[in-house]
Amino acid sequence: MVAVRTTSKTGRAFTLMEMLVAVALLVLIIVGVGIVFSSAGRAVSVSQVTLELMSNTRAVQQQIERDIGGISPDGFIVIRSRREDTTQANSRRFDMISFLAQGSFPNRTGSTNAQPFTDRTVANAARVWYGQLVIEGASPSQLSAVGVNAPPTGTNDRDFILGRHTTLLLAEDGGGTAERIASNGITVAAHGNIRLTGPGTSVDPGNSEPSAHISSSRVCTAALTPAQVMRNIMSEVTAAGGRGVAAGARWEADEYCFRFKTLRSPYDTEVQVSGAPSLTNGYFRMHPIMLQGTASFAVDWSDGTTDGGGNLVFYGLGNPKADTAIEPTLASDDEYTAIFSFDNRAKWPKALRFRYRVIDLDEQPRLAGGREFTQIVRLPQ
Amino acid sequence: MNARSGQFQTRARGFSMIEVNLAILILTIGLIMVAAIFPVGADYTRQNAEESVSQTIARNAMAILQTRMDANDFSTVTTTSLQAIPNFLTKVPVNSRAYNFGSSTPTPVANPDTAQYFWTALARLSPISSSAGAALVRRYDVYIFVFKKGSVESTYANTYAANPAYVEVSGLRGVTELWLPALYQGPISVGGSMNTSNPTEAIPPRGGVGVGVSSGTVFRQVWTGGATVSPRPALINGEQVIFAPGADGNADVMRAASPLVFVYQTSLTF
Repeated sequence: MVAVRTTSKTGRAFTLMEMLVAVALLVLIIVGVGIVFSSAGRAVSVSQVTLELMSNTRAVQQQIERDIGGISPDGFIVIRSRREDTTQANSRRFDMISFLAQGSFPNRTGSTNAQPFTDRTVANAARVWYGQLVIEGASPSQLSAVGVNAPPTGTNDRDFILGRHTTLLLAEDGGGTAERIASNGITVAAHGNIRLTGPGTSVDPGNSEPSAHISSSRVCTAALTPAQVMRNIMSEVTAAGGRGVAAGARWEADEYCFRFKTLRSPYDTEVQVSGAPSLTNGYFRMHPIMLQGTASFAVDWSDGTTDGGGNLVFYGLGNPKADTAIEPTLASDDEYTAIFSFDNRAKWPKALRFRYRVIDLDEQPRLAGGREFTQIVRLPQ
Repeated sequence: MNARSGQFQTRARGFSMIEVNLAILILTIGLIMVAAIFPVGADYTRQNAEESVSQTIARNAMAILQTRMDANDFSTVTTTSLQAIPNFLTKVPVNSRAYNFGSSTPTPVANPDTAQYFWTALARLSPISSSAGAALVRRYDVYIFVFKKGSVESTYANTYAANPAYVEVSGLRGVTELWLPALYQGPISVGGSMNTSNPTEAIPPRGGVGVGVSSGTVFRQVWTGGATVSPRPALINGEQVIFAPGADGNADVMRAASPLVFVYQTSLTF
């Protein structure tokens, strides 16, 4: 290049035109390739986010399948449905479902406040609840419920968290104190019953600390068996005047299906109540969070009825069965309620349908509005 | 450079237009080759997504099947060869077999023509229960076949019999019934090659998914190079297989209108 000899006179640099043509060609090619890259990139990112959401929901689906597969037909099922905005057909659904199930349910909290994770109690029955959670703020309300059928916490799609709460049903230890269960020699705190308005329980037996409300998720064991739960329900419905009377008609819905609360993290030590910081340090409680970004959660049921063509019909909010033996008069805030219990066993549903709309949690969501997943699960008969 | 800088500046020449164009050509080839990787990657992602979706569909299908059908419906499933389930087509109508993934009510769909996915089911008496005797608990292996709606009319070899149990209307491969799942049945030739110009050889094309009729093995055709395809896991040579052409989009594969993307196997006990 440097030792130029004879070519030096004829050799010349590009003219402006040549440069322009070359650059224009290059730009055309780069733009063309860029279009291919960006469209492929978009397609891949949508597929990726779908796959990501699917793998997240798969864990939820498997859990739901296991829990529903363990439903005891001798127990109860309560479905409560509502929309965030009752004037909007496509508003977010805040449904809840609560039922008695058999299976293997580990205690997710500790035995005492000083031993947060030491208990290995496993129950073979539980009251299982699915729904979006209420997140406790700086002033926790572990002493009381958030209100019957209160909406979950959240403003944007990504704020809503699908929760699964299991209240372990364990026989009492026989010592006459219904709220204590012995496991490996350790005394475990337990609720006396699994009702919304039941008494709270001390989370630290022996110490004079305030009681924790059952909806606070601080204690997740109860000292009674599934049979005792059903016996209680029967006597309570009877005491309320029977199923035909308003007070007894929606007993299971009012008392056994309510919204649970949680901390953002079980390690949250910021949340404290004056006078009892050790109680509320966040350790001594279960963490019922299943899936963040569950904007909508809807539950429907089918009794095997088919439409004219032979397709299964699902009943729920928007399509009630209009059967007062299952669907009682609505309480305020509820838009739909279905109760399957001891007295309408013949109407036990055959299948449940869960629908959840899940959002990816990226700062800039790649899939506007998220993805809707549907899961149909057959019920043990 | 420094000593001869004056000379360099006056005598040096630049690239010629031809040289520059050659360079751009080489760059273009490189860029195109890189860009060609993207569709391949995107295709794998799509396949992966379709299979994941199909699992969800298959599980829901199983719940519908169990809710709609009982022991009586399976009573004539008496052999360990895969067969149609009696009453299946009437008990689970086509609207319930169509699936709109991502919609708020994906099934049943009002108009199956608009659905993206379809499924159908076959069953056999599980060898476990058949040996135990008819009086004991009967266990059935159920196979759910999930199809993705395609847009290419099937031109598949007519030596493969379209399983009559799943032909709902005449003209299965007609233009207006493109979405109908088409399953084929024929013997498999293990280790055979596929003649792409004459798709009458007894081997399903690569990319296909299927089930061995008597063994119950769910297999996928694997391309081993050249024109040879082998099922994985391996099947018995000559075994009858039920399959549908694959959805891999290769030009040499005779594509079905609705490629089978997933086979879900589970069992039922009555």
